[in-house]
Amino acid sequence: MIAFFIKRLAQAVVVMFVISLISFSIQDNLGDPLREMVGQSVSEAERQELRDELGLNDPFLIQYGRFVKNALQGDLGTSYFFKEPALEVILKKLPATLELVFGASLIILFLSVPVGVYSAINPQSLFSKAVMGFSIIGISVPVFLTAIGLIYLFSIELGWMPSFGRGETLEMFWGWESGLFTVDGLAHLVLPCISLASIMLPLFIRLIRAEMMEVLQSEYVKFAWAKGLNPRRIYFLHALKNTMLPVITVGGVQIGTMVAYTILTETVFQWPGMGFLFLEAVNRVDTPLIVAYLIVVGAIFVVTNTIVDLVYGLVNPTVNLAGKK
Amino acid sequence: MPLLEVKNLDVSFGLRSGEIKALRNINFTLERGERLGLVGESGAGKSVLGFSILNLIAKPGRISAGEIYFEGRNLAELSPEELRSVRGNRISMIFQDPMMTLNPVLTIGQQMIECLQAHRKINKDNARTIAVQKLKQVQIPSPETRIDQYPHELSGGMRQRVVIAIGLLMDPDIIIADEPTTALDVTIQAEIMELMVELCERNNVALILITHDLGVVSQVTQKALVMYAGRVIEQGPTREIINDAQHPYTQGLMNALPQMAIPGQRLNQIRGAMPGLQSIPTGCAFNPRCDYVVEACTKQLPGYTVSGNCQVACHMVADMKKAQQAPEEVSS
Repeated sequence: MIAFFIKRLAQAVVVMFVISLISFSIQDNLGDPLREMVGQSVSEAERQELRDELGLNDPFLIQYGRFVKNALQGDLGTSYFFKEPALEVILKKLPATLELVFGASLIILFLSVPVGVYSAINPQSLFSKAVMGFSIIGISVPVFLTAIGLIYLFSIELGWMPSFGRGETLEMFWGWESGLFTVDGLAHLVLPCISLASIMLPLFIRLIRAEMMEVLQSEYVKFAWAKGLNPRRIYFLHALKNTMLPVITVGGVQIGTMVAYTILTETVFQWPGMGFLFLEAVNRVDTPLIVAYLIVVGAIFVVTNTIVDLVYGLVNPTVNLAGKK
Repeated sequence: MPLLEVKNLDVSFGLRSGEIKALRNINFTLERGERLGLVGESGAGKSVLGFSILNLIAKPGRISAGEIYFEGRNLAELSPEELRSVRGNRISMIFQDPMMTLNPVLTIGQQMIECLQAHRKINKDNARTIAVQKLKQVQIPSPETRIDQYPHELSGGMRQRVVIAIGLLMDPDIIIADEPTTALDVTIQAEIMELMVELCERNNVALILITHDLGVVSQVTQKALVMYAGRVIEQGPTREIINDAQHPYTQGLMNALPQMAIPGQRLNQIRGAMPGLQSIPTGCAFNPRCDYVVEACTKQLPGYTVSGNCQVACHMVADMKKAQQAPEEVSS
């Protein structure tokens, strides 16, 4: 187990190094941060002085070295706009995004498994065919369109759901502001979660269906029938456990992708999360914030993939993470 | 009353291009403790017959006619729930490839205990005790530790032993073994076969052995069914079929055995290949490959002729019988 974590940690260091290098090197191409920081009235000489002060005129490698040194101490730079440490600004917005991803993941988990399994067992049924048809639409329609459609229908026409923001939040531990424990907060979560889930849900239904259909043809499932087992046990233990192996792998990657997709959803719903913040930062050429965002998202990817590998090892006995014998 | 009686069984596969008959008019009986061999080339329908007894044929296959009587009940007409109580309980199966038969994500113990619990009220500890006992019977060393292992931790031969142990769990009346040693290493094939036969004998279990190995059939079984293109072409006591095969196809199979070959000469083989089920020739399905073909063979499906204790579906054998009988009638 320890060996696994050390290996993972080494991988994570390499990955984070590459991400930091890429995100740091694109910042020069995003525009002039000075323009946003200072007003019209500041003269060119003063601007040059400010650039020197901020170290923006140093060679790239020196700037990057300084950045890495600070980053290792937890300092990803100071946001030009908020005048606060970039990491703090982002972490303050992290709970909102994580709750959004969490809600969408729940929707995906609780819908994709039963629907996928049902349509694998009864591929000819009307329901399965309808699901397959709708899933194509779901995959094809972009998130922002789904989101706008949902707002139009449920917020404007029907007036059932709030159309923007997080609603009422409660202060939890470590400054975690949560919308999960108030009715208003939950109501605000519904539409954003649905629209974020809309792109992944069809994918997962199709994946589970395809995997399950293949597993149902396997010899061990036939043998389970020949043993006279209860069909429920055959479908939900023998077949499903094998079906979930590849699904878990794909799912782990998709959770990371979903964090990235929140940019669209959060923008449409004015959701005060990381993605929305990132888009604002891009508009303001707030480079430290952009870099910090990319690094945080990269870290989330690394962490979720590690967790997925751990879970995979628990489900699949032929995988031996710990190197134990 | 025989333990198992298959009567006029037809199995069809409904395909887009039309219905295909995989089995036609199969008849046989099996007594308690008897061992029956189903022999034939790949595609002759022997596996389909084995699976159809427990109504386990993969869709779009189905039993389209006939009856399968087991202890007086017609298995072809049982409800899914009634069938479930027969499967793995009174009639169990052993599959071909032990590497694929066991579920890779469940322990040996889980896969044994669930079978016991599916058929009778028993708690986990008692079920485990029985499972360990059965593993011991199939000569798995240190069954108490093996039972908690996953299939991938066992060798192919060990896995087939586990599969046999699962087959024996409920002390069934019949075991249907579909080429149980084909996927195994040659060195352990004989070992596994011997073990299976011994256990069947000791527990008075009837065995239906599906195989293409005539040698195994002659050593293990008392009765044999030779199948060709979905039909039984010869059936009877194994010894009679082996020693005095009547049907040209069975004769061809016997001659093809390496034991029959003269050193230095080519092995005998039956020319041609078995037709696909969609292109079975009219008349006797074997006629394009047969050396004794007469006009009737290409026109008329041969009925069964009794010869000794065997039944043979061949025009030539039927003519020979008539020729033998005719002079006797005159003289008497």
